[in-house]
Order: sequence, then structure tokens, then C-alpha cells
Amino acid sequence: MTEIVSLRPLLAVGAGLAVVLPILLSGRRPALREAWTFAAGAVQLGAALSMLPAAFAGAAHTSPALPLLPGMPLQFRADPLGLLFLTLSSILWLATSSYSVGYLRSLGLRHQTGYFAAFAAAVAAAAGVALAANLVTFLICYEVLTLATWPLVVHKRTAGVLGSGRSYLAYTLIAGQLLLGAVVWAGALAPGAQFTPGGFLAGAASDGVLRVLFVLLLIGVGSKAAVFPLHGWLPAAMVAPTPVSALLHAVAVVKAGAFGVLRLTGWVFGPDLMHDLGLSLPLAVLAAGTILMASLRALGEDHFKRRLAYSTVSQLSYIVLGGAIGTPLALAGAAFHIAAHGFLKITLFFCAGSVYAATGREHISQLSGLARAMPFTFAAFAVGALGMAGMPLLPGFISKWNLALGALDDHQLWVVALLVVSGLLNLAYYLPILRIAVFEPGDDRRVREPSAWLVAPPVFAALAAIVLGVAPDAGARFWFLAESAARSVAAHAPQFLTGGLP
Amino acid sequence: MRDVLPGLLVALPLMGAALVPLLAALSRRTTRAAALGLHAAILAAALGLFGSAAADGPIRYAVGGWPGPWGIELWFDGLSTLIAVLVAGMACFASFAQTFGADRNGAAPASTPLREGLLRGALLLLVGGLLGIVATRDVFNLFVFLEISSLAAYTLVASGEGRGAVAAFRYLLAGTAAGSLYLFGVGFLYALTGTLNMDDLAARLPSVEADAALTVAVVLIAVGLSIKAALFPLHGWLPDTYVYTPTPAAGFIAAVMAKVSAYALLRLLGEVLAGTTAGAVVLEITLWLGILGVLVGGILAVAQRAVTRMLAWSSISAMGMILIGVGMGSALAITGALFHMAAHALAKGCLFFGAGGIRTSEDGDEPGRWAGLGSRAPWTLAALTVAALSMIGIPPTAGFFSKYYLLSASIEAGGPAGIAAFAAIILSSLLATVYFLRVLEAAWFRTPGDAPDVAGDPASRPPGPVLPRPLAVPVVGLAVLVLLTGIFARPFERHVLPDWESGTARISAPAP
Repeated sequence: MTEIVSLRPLLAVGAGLAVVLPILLSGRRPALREAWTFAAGAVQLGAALSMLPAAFAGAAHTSPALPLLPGMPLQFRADPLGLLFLTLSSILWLATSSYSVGYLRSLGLRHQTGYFAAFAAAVAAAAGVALAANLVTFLICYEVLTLATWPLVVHKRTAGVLGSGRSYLAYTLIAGQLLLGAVVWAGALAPGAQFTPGGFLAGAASDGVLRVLFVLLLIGVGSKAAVFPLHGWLPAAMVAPTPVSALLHAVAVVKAGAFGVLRLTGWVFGPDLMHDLGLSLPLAVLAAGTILMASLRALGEDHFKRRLAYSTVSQLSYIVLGGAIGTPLALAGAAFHIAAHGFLKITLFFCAGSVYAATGREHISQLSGLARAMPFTFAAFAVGALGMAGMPLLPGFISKWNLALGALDDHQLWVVALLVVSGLLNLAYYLPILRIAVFEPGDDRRVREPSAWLVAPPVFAALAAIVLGVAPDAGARFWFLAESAARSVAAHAPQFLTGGLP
Repeated sequence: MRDVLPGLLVALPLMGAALVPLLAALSRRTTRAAALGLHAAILAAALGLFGSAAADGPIRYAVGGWPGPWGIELWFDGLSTLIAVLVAGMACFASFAQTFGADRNGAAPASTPLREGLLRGALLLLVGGLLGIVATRDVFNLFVFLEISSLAAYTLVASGEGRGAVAAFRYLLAGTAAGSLYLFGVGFLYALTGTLNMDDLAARLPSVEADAALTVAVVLIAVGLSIKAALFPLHGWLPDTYVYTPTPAAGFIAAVMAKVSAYALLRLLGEVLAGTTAGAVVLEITLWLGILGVLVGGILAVAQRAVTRMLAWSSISAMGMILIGVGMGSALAITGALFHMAAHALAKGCLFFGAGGIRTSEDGDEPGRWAGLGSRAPWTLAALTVAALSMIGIPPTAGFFSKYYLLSASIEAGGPAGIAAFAAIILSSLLATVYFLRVLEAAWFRTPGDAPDVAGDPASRPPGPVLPRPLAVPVVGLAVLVLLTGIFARPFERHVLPDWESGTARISAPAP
């Protein structure tokens, strides 16, 4: 792959970071403050889009290596996988920002300045996670992401909320320290620790050491990805304002964790080494267990946002599953699911937030009849719910279909069965929401759609999801990016060259 | 420059210590200006020596024109000038902070000009003693400077109200024991080799290697300096001393004092006595005690209810971390230890200035007293947050990089000690997360009413700013330095930290 040395990756990461201080300083002028956010979002999106043509041509923009540690520079590189995540987060950041403006103002929440500043820092850190070219850069962005999200999670400042914030920090910072140890270790074994398609650790140490290292790294990234049994913080973090939950799930924290798992399996260890060490199957089983467990928990959950949270736990383990299987199609499906889940889940959260903003209701059993009062919101919700279940013509179908094909390449029939069962479970916990909202008689005739700030983002995200499902290779070409990421790994994993991509 | 600065570096603070109290007869303003000017001049001299040693190699300076091994020599290489800059720089901040007089646990409320002059003189004397320890090439002379710095420190500690005197007495007992043990050790060395000059000693030691008295000497010296460096389990004096010292002096003492003793340990055990078996064994023990200290300090810091006491225990953990590096002795480990010295000095100085000031303004020391400070004094709290994150080791602050080097060195060292050090450093970060985030959470996200550990009416707090300017300026300045050292960690490591090769500290030639 050709490298183009340019400053665009730095621009993409720096845009959000650069506006943190201006946002804090313009707290008295909300219009100006929000303008900073949108300006940074536009710059980040522009930088991401400007790097796409090179990626389509098989090249990658790489930032100059900034000195950081011996042999380990601070470096950002827009490879297909990173660019996929970056483009997704830029688009969704803009959507979430406009949603946030409406949400915070309609509910009259306090601390809005700190909110937007932390939001910008979190998105910048997520962009850094996306483009990190080596483990140290990844680690730094990862830690910044953890801390930048803390003020967002504890936004309501009550004692219970602070407790949830502690739980969030306990999981993520402990995992972060294990990740630090693992990164130092990996850097000692393989100088530079640069993400390489197909992995860079093969033969660097004995099998036992590599297995321990894998477990440490997996805990490090897996706790953010909410892989069982490290998922406990995620439902608790639902105390955050809804746009924050949307960001946490679709873009920043949880998604960064899932993205980290893909980097770990495809770019640090590589499918070959994972198989040789006997790590693939245990990881796949762990992911499968998480998918089922979280789906079952979602069935019994009446709190709207917490049901969505368990759904995230379940859906992100598809990405982990794809990374564990490691065949080209499975990896492509997993990478595509980053984008697919991003658009779908942000739609669902936006809808949940709109319901809360319009009615103050937080539980599914209270949704009776709301679909007639809020048709746009619930139409968008229907798209998100069906997409999650893997309905054709929606993006969830594409990722699951390829995951299944990839699993078959590896003769893992049980994965197909799992995907079917999980799809049914998805329907089982999403359709009742629609049933209650559409068919049960409403009890409050005064309910109306909230302001346009709150209606437009979910509708936009739902439409984007439909486009992505019908034409996955249009526009930003998310499918192409996912496929070329998987192809680059496969090229360095000869064991898997036989089956897979056309 | 190379002929004048070495003498000035030690002479300026010692003469200033005598002069500044006299100026108190004129006016407070003159005293302050003179003290600040002196500290700035000392820093300039230290920086000049640092630059000169970096550009043209180490400087050997014979005091009074008497060359070694008979006369006393001063020795300025990359290592000693680095520590000198650290000491002199922190002293500037402390001198600025000394304008802050009224501290509940600190100086007398209505500080008289004479008292202020005397305390400023004591700080200068302390700086002179520490710079002497850093610079001298003579093991007995090192004892003299050790005592000078200790006496000045006792004065500063005892100037605190209330239990300051008790803390000072306790510190005095420990310090005297430390000094005596060190002196005994030097006596043995002198009896064995007939010399006190470090270079001469290093040359003569191989001929007395077999003598059991050498082991005694090495152990005595190591124990003496370990007490001053607060190496576990010889740390007992530290918490009370740090807590009851008046804030301006506490910020300085907590930042550099134990580190200078750690430097002396490194200089003697890592360089002068490096060839001896006893020295190697003692370093190995230091490494293991450092590991224990990191854990014990961290665990007890979690158990503290008062912020300054928590910071004091966290210092014991940090000293353990530095001594892990010293004990390992590899180039990477020494880089880590020196990086951590700098990172911890900047961050802990910042935190002690801040926490001490908040203890006074909020009339209490529990984390709950910090509730709501984030909205009342956002910039100060942002600075303290940066320092706390550096203590935890969150990028991009300096503390992350020092931990990274120490972790790399542990991996490189391998074996049980390497694994234990690796685990201890990771664990200590987790403990630091617990005890620092408790405070930060209160400061940023709690309101004064709902803090669980503070009784009484928040409205009864004394009026005034959270941190007065004499403390706010050092707090913000140090936090900026913590951040800059972190962001420019690689240049800092390559151009500022000395290369440590086979037991001799030499500043590297500036990289192209």
C-alpha cells in the first residue's frame, strides 16, 4: 500500500481537540459555542472525506512521525479500517451535535459548556483511536477518550450518577492500565509495535507469553467493547444524557473498544497467529456467549435506554466474533458492522431521547400509542430496529450475511445458527416496543413531536442507514473500505487465502 | 563561565541565607525582592552549568584552588546539573509562594517581617544544602551539606503552627539518625581507603574489596541515605513532616528533598561503589524495598481521609518508584527514575501548593472540602487536575512517560524482580486512580452541600479566593511544565536527561 505523508490525519484528530478551549471560553455565548462544535465537526468530516480518494486508490495518508518514545512515534495513518471509523464518527458527530443542541435546550440541562467541550475532546480522541498507527498512539488516545467521557457520563451530578461514573471509570481505567502494561510489553517484543495487516507479533516470543499478552490486550480493549464479563459499566452508564449514550454506543467509547478488538485480532496478532495459539475459538465462544446473554437480558429490561444498551453489548460482539473468526469475509462483515451499527444504534438512541424530551418517559411500557403522536420518530425507530435484526436492504443484513459466509469458510456452522437465533432474539426485544407504540391506545393526546433539532437527526440517520443498506458501496463506500481492510489482512494471512473474497 | 558558576551555585544560597534575614530590617518588599532575585540567580547559575556541561562536558571545580583528592571538588555532569536545575527551579516557585503567609497549619497568622525574613533565609539555606549535596565530589562534604539542608528543613517544618513542632522533632530524630549512620559509613570508608574523594575512592575500592568492613560501610551509607529518601520501611518521618509543614515550604520539601537523597544514593551506590559486591547486593535490596514501598505507599494513600496526608503517602509510593529505577540500574531504568524524579517533583509540588492553599481557604483537608471548587476556580483546578493525572500516569502528562520508561526497564530486566516491579507499577497506578479521582470527582462534580465527609454549613467557609496569587501562580506554572514535559517527552529524554552508561553519568552529546 502506498503511503502519502500528509497532515490530514493530524487535522482530523486535532480539529476536535483544538476547539475544546474556545468552547470553554465562549460559555456565555451559546451560539458561538455551538458554532465551534459545528466548525470542528465540519473540518473533521472534510479531512476524512479528503482522505477517501487515496484509500479508494489503494494508498493511505500517513502523518509525519512525531517523536514520543524510543522507537515509538506518535503517528496517525488513514488505512481503510481507520478511515471507515473516522468517516463514520465525523458524520455521526455532526448529527449528534445538532441533536444535543435541541436536547439540552429543550430539557434545560445545566453545564452545557462543559458538555460540549468534553464532547469535542471525546470525538477527537475517538478519531485518534481510529487513525492510530501504532499501539502507543492507540493507547494514548484510548486513555484520553476514557477521561473525556467521564464528565459526560456524570453530567447530572447526583450521587447515584456519580456512582455510575465511578463504575465506568473503574472498568475502563483498570483496563487501561492493563493495556498500558501490555503495550509496553508488546513494544519490548516487537520494536515500534506498528499496526500491520496480518499482525506483527508472530515469532516475537514464546506461545505462553503471547497468550498472556493477548489476554491483557483483550481485557484492555474488551472492557470498553463491553465483552462479557466486562460489560457491567455499560447499562449503568445509561444515566448519561441521551445524546451522550448515543455517542458512547455508536461512535466513541464502546465502538472504539470493538474497533480495538478488530485491530488486536487483525493488525497485532493476525488471524494466523490467533489460530496457531488456539485463541480464535475461545474468543469466538466468548463473543457468542456475550451475544446471547445480552440479548436475553435485553428481553427482560423495561427501561428504554438500558434495553438499547444491552442490545449494543450484543451487537458489538458481532464485531468481536468477526475478528475472532478472522476469515476475510468475516473480517469485512465485522468492519462493516462498525458503520452499520453506528447508523442504526444512533437512530434508536435519538428516538429514545426524543421520547424522553417530549414526554419525560423512560420505560417501554409507557410508550403506548406514542407512534401516532410522533410518527417521524417512530418511523426512524422502526428502521433502526429492523436493521438491527438483520432485515435485508438494511445495513445490519450485509454485515451478518458476510459474517455467516466468513464463518462457513472456516467451517464454523454453529456461527450461522447463532446468527439466526440472535436475529430472532433481536426481533423479540425490538418488535414489542413498536407494538406498544403503534397498536396500544395512547393515554395522552397532548404529546407532539419535539422540535426539529430533535426530529431531523434520527430521520437523517435512518435515511443514511437505508442508503447504506441498499447501496453499501455508494458515497463514502463503507463496504469498499471494510472489504479492503479485510483484504489487506488476508494478504498477510496465507492460511486463509483459499476461501473468501471474490 | 565554567570557572565562576560552580562556586556561585553553592555560595549564592549560603550567603543569601545570611543576608536576607538582615534585609527584613528594611522592608518586607526588599526582603521579598532580594530573596526572589537570589533564587532566580541560583536558577540561572544552575541552567548555565547545565548548558555548559551539555555542550563542553562535565566540569570539575576545585574549591579554593585545592585540587582533589586532598581538596574538596565539585562535579557537574549531566546528572548533577539536572538535579540542580530541578532544585533551583522548585525553589523559585517556593520563594514566590512564601509571600503566602497565613496557613492554618502554617506560618503564624500575623507574620512579622523578621519572621518572614528568617523563613526566607531558611529556604535559601535549604537550597544551598541541597545544591551542595548535588554538586560535591567529596563524601564527607556531602555529610556536611546533608546536615545543613536538614537543619534548614527542621526550621521550616517547625515554623508550622500546632503539630509542626512535633513533626519537626520527629523528622529531626530520623534525620539525625540518618546523618549519623551515613557518617559512620564514611568513617569506615576513610579507614579502609584513606580518601574521601569519590573518584579516588572508586579507584581504591577494588584493593579492599575483600574486607568485611567495606560491607558495613556500604550498608551504613545506604541505610542513612534511604532514611532521608523515605525508602520503605524507613519512611515513618515523611507523612507528618509533609502535612504539618507550612504550605510554601511543604511544596518545596515534598517536591525535591527526598529526591536529592535518592540522587545521592544513585551517585554513591550506582557510580562510586558500583564495582563492589556489597553495592550490588544493596541495590538489589533497594529494588525490592522500592517495590514494597510503591505498594504500601499507594495502599495507605487510599486509606487517608485528608488530602495532604494522602499526597504524602503517594510521595512514599513515588519514591519507591524512583528507587526501583535506581535499584535496577540499567540505562533505561535510570532514565525512568530520573524522568520520574522530574515528573513527580513538578506534579507533587503543584499539588502540595494547591492542596495546602485549599486546606486554608476551605478550612479543612477532606476531599469533600474540594466540592464545587471546579466551578469557583476552574483554572486552578484544571492545573491541579493535570498534576493529579500525571501522578496517575495518564497521557499526555509527564507521569505517563516516566512510568512507561520504568515499565520498559522492568520488562527488559525480566526475572522475578522485573515482573514484581512491573506489576507493582501497574498496581500503583490503579491505586493512584482511586485516591486522586476521589478528590477530582468532588472538585468537579459535587456541590458543597452533598459531600458525604464534611459536616457543617458550607456557608461558614471563610471568604476570599480559593488560592491566593502567591500559590495560584506556582500551581498553574508547574502544571504547564508537567504538560510540556509530557508533550515533549522524547526531546526531554534525549536532550535533558543524562545518558547512564556503565556506572558513569554523562550528558549525551546533543543529538543532531
